[in-house]
Amino acid sequence: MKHISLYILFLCCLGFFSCEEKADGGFTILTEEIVNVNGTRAIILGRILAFQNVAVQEHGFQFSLTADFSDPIEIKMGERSRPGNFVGETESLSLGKEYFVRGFAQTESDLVFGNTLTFVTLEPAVERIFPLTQFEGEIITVFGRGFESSSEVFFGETKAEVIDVVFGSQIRVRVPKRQESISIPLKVVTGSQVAFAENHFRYPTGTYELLDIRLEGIRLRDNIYFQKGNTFFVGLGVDFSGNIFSEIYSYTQGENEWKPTNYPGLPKRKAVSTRTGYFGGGFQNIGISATYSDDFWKYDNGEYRQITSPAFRFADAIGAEISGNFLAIGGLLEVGSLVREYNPISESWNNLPNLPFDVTGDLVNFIYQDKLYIIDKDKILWEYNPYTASASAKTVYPSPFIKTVSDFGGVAIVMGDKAYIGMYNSAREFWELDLRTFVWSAKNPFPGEIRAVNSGIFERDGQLYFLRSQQPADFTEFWRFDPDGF
Amino acid sequence: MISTSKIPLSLFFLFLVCLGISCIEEYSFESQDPGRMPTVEGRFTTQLKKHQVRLSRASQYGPDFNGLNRPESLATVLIRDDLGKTILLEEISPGVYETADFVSAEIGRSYNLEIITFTGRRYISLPETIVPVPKIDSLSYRSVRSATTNRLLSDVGVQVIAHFRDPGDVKNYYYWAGNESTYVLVTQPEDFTNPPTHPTCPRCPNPKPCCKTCYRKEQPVVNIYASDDNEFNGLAQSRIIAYIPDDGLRFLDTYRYEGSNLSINERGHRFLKLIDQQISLTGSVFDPPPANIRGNVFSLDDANETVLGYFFASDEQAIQAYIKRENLEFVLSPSTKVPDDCRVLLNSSLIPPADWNP
Repeated sequence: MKHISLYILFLCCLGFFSCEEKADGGFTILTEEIVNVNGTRAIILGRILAFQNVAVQEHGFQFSLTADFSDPIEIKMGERSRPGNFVGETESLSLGKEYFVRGFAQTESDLVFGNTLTFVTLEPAVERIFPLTQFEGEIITVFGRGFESSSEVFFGETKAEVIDVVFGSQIRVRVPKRQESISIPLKVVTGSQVAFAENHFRYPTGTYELLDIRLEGIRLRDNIYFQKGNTFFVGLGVDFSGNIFSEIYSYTQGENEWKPTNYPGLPKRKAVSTRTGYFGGGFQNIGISATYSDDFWKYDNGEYRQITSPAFRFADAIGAEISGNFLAIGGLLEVGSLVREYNPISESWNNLPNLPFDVTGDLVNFIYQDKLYIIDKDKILWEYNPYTASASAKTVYPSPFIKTVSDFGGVAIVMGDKAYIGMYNSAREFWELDLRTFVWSAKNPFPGEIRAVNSGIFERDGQLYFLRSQQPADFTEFWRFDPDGF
Repeated sequence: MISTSKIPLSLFFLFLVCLGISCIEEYSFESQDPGRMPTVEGRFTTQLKKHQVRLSRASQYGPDFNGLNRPESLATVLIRDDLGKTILLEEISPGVYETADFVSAEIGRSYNLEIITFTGRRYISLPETIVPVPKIDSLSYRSVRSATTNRLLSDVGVQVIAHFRDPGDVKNYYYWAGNESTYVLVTQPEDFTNPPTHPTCPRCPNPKPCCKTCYRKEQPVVNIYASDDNEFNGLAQSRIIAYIPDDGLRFLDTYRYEGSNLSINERGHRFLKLIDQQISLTGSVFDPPPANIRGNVFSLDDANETVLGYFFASDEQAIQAYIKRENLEFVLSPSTKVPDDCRVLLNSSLIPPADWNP
């Protein structure tokens, strides 16, 4: 009995230590979230929930087309001991199918499954083609979804060279040789499925014709131009000898020559002008200390009529006629964002809110539905409402700019719901912009001499006409452009 | 004289002392280096604009300088919706990625952010589904003065208050973020004096003819204003959504606060609340303990890799309020004097923003 307490202590110790055993411990598998599903790819997040380390010999996910997981696709991620997240990714699913997925973990004795989630893989689809118009041999990108890496692209029945398939959603493809039609349906074949583009791919169009009615002995820059019906006007500015040119010429369709119009005002270069016949300001002569030319004019009903001059000086500014009023905007002489409006009824000038940025006359601009559009030196096309002072970026001019080389001197004109923009300095690119969708379509490049200055652009009966003052010569070429010709 | 019987005992104690000393060795402590953790900050909203995502590698914070956060350059960054549509982002400056075009998110759609680093590591965010944000009906503001530890100096600022009605049928989470704002900067060019290095007349008065008033842009003050509708579900509410401290320059004339009213989900709300809690620590014993704040981005290569930051996909309502000095009860006094042309201050211009309409 005298050692009974020792025996009791010994038994207690045995009892205490006998509870310590290395156990796997209970755990739960959670199929937590479907992170992302694309055509053939799915990423699933799972979690092992436990209060201690676990002895898992294998874990991962099972994917199956049936709820009973017969013949599953398994992603195995090896053994692990710590609880926590695990991520499974597979790219071997079929397009447009409903899948069941669950996490699993294999221990020495058990195979434990998590809850089941379902998802549907995406069917392939073509959303858009960019650019929609492209030259043969160049590359376009087909945007969509569910594209396998082995996808094929067909222009009509012609299989095109696929450059690469990126992220299952973009296919870069080389445009095959031009076919009989300029508008071609495009389809993507991926796996056993076919996806069609909603819009047809288009080969570029546009034909240029050099007319035999050139302005002989006249080569202009810093000039103005406008149009009245079927009569085109061009003049003022600086001539090929570097002298101020103080006449305006006109050409009426059907005639075979440009005629002087007996402009009565002060000579001008870098005058502010609209395409509708308002003009004024600018400089009277050449040089740094040139004199401001302060008269303003409106050409209407076959005559020049002088209008009130504004209290501010405008030179190399943007001119626009919006809602029947003449707007003079920015320029070099005053604040470059200043906007003044001439009301022909009250014959007075009013202040309008400033532009959000400075502008000069060399920025390509046009008017559409009483809004002013300007392409800045960063190629952004801004839509501007001068009455609410709201500006919004709409799109980006597609051709590259070279600073101080090809970022000025371009032309723009609106015909219907389309604007024709391009032929910047030392560049041949010419683009059509759909003003309802802001989608650009390339036109055939200008084939003539690029060492020339655009002196004017006009439109009549679905055709464009433009003047190009040749730099090495002393004449101005007169061109006609058919946007749909090919 | 020492007794011979005590010698072994003395030797025994000496042995113990030697044993104790011999065990002491220098223990050099080194904190665990988590490495440079990838950090993601991005927001994709229903506003039509160019959206940005910032990627960087966070450096370890501690007594030793470990370098600055490094931008994560040359990564491939894309936003993908649940219909498979992909928007690629371009790197516009180191670590800053921007959508190439003006794009907007759609309500009801889910968006993932996917990142492939230059070294090939892949990251993806959890899908963020966009729910409509209850619209703010109006904004008001009030100036407030609060005591500081300096008895002679009070903290003065302006609270912006949003008035809206929370829809009762759904659980809503709100996040009000500040954006770049503009204020009228008033300086004193007439008090300009020459610099001390002036060759002929140092520190002499030399009034400048221009300019006294400019428009200055500034980045928002970092504060997190997020809320759920637990306390006001279905009720009309007036809540503080921004606080702009008066630095003596901001409220000399007119301040235009610009912000965003954003819808977020429960996960995003928890993330913001934890961040707010952590950046509000004061070192007090009542502070909450430091937390490991998980975002919604994780690695596809190693799910246990810590990725900091959050990718928000939100419905966004742009909000704006003109704060006029004459309506403020308190302003910082005396105001800050800048005896120079206002244009010399960073981000100031004579030209007002295009839509400036106080």
